[in-house]
Amino acid sequence: MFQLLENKMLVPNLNLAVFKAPEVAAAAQPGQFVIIRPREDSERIPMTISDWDAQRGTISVVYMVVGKTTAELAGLAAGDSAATVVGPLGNPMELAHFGHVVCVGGCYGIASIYPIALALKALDNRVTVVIEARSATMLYWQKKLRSAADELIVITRDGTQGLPGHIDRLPGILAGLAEPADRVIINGCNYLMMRGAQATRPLGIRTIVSLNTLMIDGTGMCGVCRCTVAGTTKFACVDGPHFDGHEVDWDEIARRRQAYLGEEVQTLVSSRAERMSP
Amino acid sequence: MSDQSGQVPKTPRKLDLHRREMPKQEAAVRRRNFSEVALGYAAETAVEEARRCLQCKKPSCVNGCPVNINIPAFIHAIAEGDFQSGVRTLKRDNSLPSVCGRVCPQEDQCEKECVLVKRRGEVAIGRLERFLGDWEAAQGPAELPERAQPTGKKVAIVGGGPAGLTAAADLVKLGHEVVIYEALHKMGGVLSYGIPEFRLPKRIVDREVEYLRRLGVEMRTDFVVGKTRSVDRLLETFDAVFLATGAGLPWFMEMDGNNMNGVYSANEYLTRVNLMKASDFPRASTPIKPHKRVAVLGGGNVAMDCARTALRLGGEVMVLYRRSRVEMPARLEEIENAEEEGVIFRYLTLPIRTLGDEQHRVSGLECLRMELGEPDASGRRSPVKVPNSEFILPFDCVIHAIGNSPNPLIAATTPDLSISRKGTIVVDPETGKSSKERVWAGGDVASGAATVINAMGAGRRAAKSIHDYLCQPDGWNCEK
Amino acid sequence: MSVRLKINGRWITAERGQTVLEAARANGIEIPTLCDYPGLPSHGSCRMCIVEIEGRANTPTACTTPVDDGMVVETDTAKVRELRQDLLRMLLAEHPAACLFCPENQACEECMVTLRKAGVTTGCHNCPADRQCSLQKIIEDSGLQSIAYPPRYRALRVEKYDPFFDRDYNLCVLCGRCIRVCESLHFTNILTYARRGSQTRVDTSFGRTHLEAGCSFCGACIDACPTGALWEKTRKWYGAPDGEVASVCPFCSLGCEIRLVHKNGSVIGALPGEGLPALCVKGRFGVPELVNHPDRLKDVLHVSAGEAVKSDWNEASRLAAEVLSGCAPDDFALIVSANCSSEDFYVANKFTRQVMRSAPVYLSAAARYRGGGQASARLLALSQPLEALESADLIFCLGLDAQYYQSVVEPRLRQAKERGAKLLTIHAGEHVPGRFADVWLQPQPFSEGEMINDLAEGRDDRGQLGAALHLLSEARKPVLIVGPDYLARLPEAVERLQKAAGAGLVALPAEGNLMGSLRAGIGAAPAGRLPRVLYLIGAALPHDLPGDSFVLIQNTHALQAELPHLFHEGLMLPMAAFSETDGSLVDQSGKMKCYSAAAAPPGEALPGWKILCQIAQALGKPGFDYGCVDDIRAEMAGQAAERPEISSPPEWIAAPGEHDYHGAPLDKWVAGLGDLQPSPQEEGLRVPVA
Repeated sequence: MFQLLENKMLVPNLNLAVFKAPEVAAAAQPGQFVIIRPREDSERIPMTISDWDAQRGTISVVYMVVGKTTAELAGLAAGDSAATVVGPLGNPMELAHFGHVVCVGGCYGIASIYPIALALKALDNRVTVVIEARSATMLYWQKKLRSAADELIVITRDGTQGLPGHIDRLPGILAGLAEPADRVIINGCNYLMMRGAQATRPLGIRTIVSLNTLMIDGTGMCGVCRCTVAGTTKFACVDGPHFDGHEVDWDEIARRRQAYLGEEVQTLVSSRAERMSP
Repeated sequence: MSDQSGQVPKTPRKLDLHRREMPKQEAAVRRRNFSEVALGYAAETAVEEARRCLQCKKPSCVNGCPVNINIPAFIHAIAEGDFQSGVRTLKRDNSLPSVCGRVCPQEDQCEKECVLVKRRGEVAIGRLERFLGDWEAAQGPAELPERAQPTGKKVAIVGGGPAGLTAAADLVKLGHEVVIYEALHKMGGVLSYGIPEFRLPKRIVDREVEYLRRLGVEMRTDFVVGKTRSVDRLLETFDAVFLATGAGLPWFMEMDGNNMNGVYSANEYLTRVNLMKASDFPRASTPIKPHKRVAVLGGGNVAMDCARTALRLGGEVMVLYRRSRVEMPARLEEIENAEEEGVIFRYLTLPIRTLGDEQHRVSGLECLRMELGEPDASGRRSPVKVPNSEFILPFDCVIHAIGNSPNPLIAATTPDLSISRKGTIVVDPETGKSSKERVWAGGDVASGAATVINAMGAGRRAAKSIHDYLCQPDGWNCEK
Repeated sequence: MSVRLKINGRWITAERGQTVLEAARANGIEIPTLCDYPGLPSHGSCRMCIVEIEGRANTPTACTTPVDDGMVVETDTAKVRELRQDLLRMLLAEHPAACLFCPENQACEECMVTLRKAGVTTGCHNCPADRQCSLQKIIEDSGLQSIAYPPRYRALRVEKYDPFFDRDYNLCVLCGRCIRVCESLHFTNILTYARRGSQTRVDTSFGRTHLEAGCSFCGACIDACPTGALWEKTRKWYGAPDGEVASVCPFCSLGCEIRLVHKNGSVIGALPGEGLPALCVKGRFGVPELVNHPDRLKDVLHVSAGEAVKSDWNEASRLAAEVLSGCAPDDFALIVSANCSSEDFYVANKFTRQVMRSAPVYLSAAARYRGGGQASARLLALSQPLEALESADLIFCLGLDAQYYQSVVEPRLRQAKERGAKLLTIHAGEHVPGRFADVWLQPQPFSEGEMINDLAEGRDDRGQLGAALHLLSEARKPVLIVGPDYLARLPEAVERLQKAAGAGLVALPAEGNLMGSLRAGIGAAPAGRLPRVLYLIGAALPHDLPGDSFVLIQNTHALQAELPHLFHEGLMLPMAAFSETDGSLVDQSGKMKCYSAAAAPPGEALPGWKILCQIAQALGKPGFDYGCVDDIRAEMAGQAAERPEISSPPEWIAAPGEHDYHGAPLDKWVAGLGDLQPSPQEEGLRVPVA
């Protein structure tokens, strides 16, 4: 059992959970994820580790309430325990001195890009962080990100803060940078990563994305996380989750992600787990 | 049993070649439920069957057993009606009798070596083993064997499947401190996620695991060695490490369309149903689709498990195998069970392409006809493609059950471990010692995908070798 | 008196007293509105319907401006459009609508469909009202291209604690439709504006849950909401439905017309029929959970030696025929649920008479009427529709509780009271209309019959009873309205009172098609011993089944998961629910109401009558080859209706509960209903689960 030290809404529909998981915290590296099972009868779902404190033995995840299992997690209070928090899983993000790295985050990716930006900064990279949200009210962790980055650029769809628009602003942002970007790293929903990768492809900038696929065990055993990268099948859990965004078959990602939509809706209706979430 | 409680005749007057049948659920009934298929011997039948044993002076059956159980001794105990002593004999060599009695391929092991096999009357050793295991369970919590004095030595076992559980049982009895690390949230490895409820009820696995816990084995679930902590880090706090991580990386048949929705690895399909209880969806949280026409690719025991699971989920199921029935590696008993339940077998058929609809959901398989050619290295006649014999079969689900290789997680994170080309950890077959100091490995991770009992045998040998190592030179006070 | 006015250059005729909005709509001229709602008086708060009128300063709202002769109105000038856009910009300052103007919206929605399941709405894309939202449509029609003011997310907590619907007031545009619907159409005031100024929001008073505030969960506020602020839990995740089918609610005898909403071949919701203000909680929220429940029977099962084996219709019909052909008439009984369709009743009756030549069909619900079935039947024969309350000058509620079930009666009672009718009620416990009745007679439990008899005979003229007697004696048009419990338990006393008072009568039996069953002659049944072969259509298994019984269970749901183990030999035949088949029922006033299938039955389930026909045909009996319900109805029309009769059925027939559907309490299948109140039928009347 893994105790929750904190579980609260950061912005509408995005929650922060802090778990006591000393082993995971001791081993975590930027870009890795955990598999969480909120209750004994829950599904196993992957979540990216967004922060950790090896000293205190805690890890933080930022998650979107978007189905039965995340609703079950949201329904737990600080002091309650989750049945499973196992990890850190997946490969860490490739970190080195690249020069100028642009880290893009949207949705939960605003949080998961943070440890990556921090680590890149520590390796003497120039780090520009671009975060994207529907509206200013959906932005969070700006202070943390500002401390980790040389520059923070904000895009909101309704223009309530920073640049108005969507990830389609990325080419403009990249073109306007004082120092050209050597690498782009994108975290967030599959749509954001897909559009981001499409935007950087003509510019020839290496673009790393962190795929979120369906998973069960998260250790390479079941293969439900299969994706096609550069024409070959990969397991997102053990071969990834970080891939070259220009090589990912995005349509397949979207289709496989939706494979159980009908069942997911059915279980939301019949379980009413959602009822207890904030 | 009134007239059977007497002495077992030393030389039976007449050979009894009538192997006692074990009652089973009717095929028509069981094909729609997940309850266990075989129902086990009643005590009377077990005694009758046991009395058929000739109690050979040089029992060849023992050699056929990967863990060398003293088979004649436990059978003798059953024949005498002394089940308790039978259990004790059995458990000296096998800590999981209820499991092995169910899932071991006895026809290729102990029973194959029985002297009566030539006259087609081999003693049903597996069924008797199962009977004792179940009998013990019915008596309440199992009797705990004596534990040796604590040695102060610590052993980490990586993987809570059959090899790991067996090694843990042996080592803890010898007085060592044992911690098992399991990646999933439930102990048992393939016994929990792989073998279906109708073949091995999960309560039996739970009971065996509980027995080990009572013996003093510490179990850490949700812990992925190689990720949560590396083998090298384990070696900092443990005197020895036994790697028993199994063969968990699924293979897919090489063809187009494997990533369509509706294509599963056997692992995924079985894990959803067995570990995550998807057959109870939506009462359980993890879903599985109620597919209508299911293709299972492969001819091994896992393929049979998948086929029979899919049948129980309401589908029409076809097993596609590229050779013919005699070459199928699955146990004959499982093939027969599947046939009785209504699984359709299509032999000499090779799928070459997965077909899909506009939303990339599986709609069928394009296949080729095969014919049998010359025997290959394994002695089986190898299949040869019949040119221009393409045909299409409609399916909405394809399950690849063509095998697994070891999960590369440990190999990738343990630098000085010697790994074979097939991805297995290279070990000394006698001792299970790996190329790395203080590290042993056994079970499927070393042998490649094999049987439960082979893994248990490997666990036993490694435990012995680890014990020998721990008791070495400087005179630690271990009982040999 | 009519007037003529010109709208957008077109002369139209309108009635004096109509508003410009009404006149425009009557002539097919669209004016956007948000706060306007059918049946509610004009509110004029959203100002969407602003128009220009010649000779008037400013831009008046069409919904509050009466028509005048010679009036010249323009609804779509540049000025009006500009002002309307300004109004929308202001609304959007507090409505999360980033998706509306996002060029990526379409593609993002297609790629990220799973986001529909988001717990909190942060934009149209994950809003339950997406593509069903009035605001969304008005904005699209208005040509607005961007927002202007910095949006403020109010960060109000999404209320998910009530059993049937969620409230996200972050999406609320304060049109007040929910409050006004609750107040003016339902005469209750569960909802109100809380706080003031920029903090204003809709809430229950004192911020209680709806349950605590006394809400009856009629769902009218959800229907009225133009945005995604109020939404049913069971429908929230599906997105825009594929369509609606007109149907009838079978959960009580009122037979309210409903519209079944379907998507991807499943029923996902039920709305009040055209023109109905609301339904009760059962009809409004119960249908999707009931018909999509995992316990639905989907396969034909052959139960042998207590084990269920999957079979098919051919095999099952053959087996049934085999058993039935060797069965003596008095060894057989067929029991039906009062939730079945009239067509099912007719075919069941024909089956027992022509195929089995046995005793008539038993109605399981008749066991609820052991208190005097014949008197109940006589009362039912007198029963008038709810409209009878409209002309009454005194309404006397007998054992009626319209708090949750049959709550559609409440607004009628309130309406009557408002127009001056007297309201009397007799009920032992807390109930609706207890609190707002003129006289609430509160008998000791089990002495209700005595009290009604006292009233009928005018015996006691003191205290409350005296007051009631006085009001009764003064009334010229009294109407008694009898709830399900008294109708079953105390019909003789009620009948006495009805005669003594010369009152009209509205009977509200609990059973959806009790009247239909009586017409089919099913209520009458001579007592008999428990026969060897039982055919149960939507009825529960009797206690103490003999070992050699053969049971045919025809039902929509598996009443108990372990059912096959409760009997040794038999068949389980999956039946279509009312939403999956065509049929009809007869409401409490004797009116026939037809419904049509809105979805296909699950698995191998078939309409009830079809299953009977298959078995009859397997037995080689002619006259069971109906193609559809119309064939049955044609045959039914040719036969005289039976005299309604409810005779006491044999003891071995277990009485269903008041809120049963096909032999099990509705709250077994509909989770939220269990939260409302412990059902009085909770104990004692059920078939025990072994």
